Amino acid sequence: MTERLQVEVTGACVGSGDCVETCPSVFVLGDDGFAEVREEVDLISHHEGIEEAADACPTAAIEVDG
Amino acid sequence: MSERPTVAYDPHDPGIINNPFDFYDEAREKCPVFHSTKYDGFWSIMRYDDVKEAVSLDDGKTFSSAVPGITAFPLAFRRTFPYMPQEFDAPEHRQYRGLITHFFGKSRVAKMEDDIRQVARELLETMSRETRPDLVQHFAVPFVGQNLMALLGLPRDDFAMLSSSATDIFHGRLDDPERAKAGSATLIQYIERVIEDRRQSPRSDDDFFTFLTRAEVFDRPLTHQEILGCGTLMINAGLETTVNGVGNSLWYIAHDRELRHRLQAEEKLLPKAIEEFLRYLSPLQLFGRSASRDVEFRGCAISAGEIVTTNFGSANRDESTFERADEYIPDRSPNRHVAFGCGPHFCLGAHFARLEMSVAIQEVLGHFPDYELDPEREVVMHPHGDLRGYWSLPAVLNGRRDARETA
Repeated sequence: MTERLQVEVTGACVGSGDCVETCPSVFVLGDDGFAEVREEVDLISHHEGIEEAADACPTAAIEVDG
Repeated sequence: MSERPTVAYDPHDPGIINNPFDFYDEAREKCPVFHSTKYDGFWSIMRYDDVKEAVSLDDGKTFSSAVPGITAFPLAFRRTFPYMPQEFDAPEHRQYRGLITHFFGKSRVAKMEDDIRQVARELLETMSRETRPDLVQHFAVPFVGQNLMALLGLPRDDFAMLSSSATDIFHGRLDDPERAKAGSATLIQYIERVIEDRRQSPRSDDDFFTFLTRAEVFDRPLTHQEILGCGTLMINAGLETTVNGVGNSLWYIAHDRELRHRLQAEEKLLPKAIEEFLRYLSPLQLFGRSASRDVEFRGCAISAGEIVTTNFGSANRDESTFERADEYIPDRSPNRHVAFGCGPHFCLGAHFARLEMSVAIQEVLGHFPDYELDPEREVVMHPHGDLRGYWSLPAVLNGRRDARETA
């Protein structure tokens, strides 16, 4: 079975940057100061880091589906 | 042309502490950025969008947190070391904060729920035997204190001494600098003993202070001063803030019978109701930074080194962001309040604070569904208005009808 992973930063993001610090390969702060998922990143290979980032987020703004 | 509008505003004035909101409304409309001359002068930023901008972008380059004591004036004395991570700017702030975020992560905090609930139940059971029960002194203070001790791996009973030191610091800064200084010295001495103990007898890496003694930043171990700055911050940031969150909620519920009934009937309402308590009665009304350079902000000329406060309490009542902002709406959605701040310095303890508020409200309503404030005894607010909340909330635990019958 093919593993797939969807990661979304919701409107609850306050730009703390904790996800960027936890998992910089996947998350980045955009020009507006809020977090974004980097484009063209292999999310599966960073699954653990993504889960850690979602847990560290102080507003639970990272939704992981997969 | 840039201006320097001046308003005679004192956040610690008793009238303002009691009701700052009418003043906020007027300031947002007529003078949303202004300077006051009290406490050697400070600027206030009052509108939601402006507050968010001031605290979110270019961390440190315009408004800096890297001045010990800048967040909570007046400065009663000069602390010689910065709170870590709070009193740093990017890029150091990012590194320091990243070290400890996992201690406050959602899953670690969630695992503490049963213990937090047990603390609440023990305290409420004890309070039920008090002849003059007080929802803050007998419940919120020891509840928040004991939970913080558990989070930081400190002996549960030490909360009383630490809570009293923190009160000496925050109350003393207004009119008794020596008291503030003594409170700070006691707290420093305590944290230094903890650091020494963990160096001598390390515990697991899940123990906050053991972790700090082993942690590395910038390719070297944390210094004693950095750990001290972190430990003292945890105590001063983790006590009265959440005590206010709990106390303000219990005060409001006592005045709104319909809300109380809804909270008792609809379990799912509580998380939203808590966000609305945080917005409507923000435990921390304002926070200070220092201007890093001469800057023009919304047409105002702010000079390098001046104190600039972002007024979260006012931002959270801004009609341009929140419809019917002066009403408490328990299921308000969305509710993007700034009670925990915004941007890189967003409150690290937000998950913990929310969980504590949730358990506190559930357990108080569970144990004392008819509690009311005692009409015979006055509520007392803290003597400062930046941290805004109750010092004493005398209550009749089983409702006034009961009290009359047993009198």
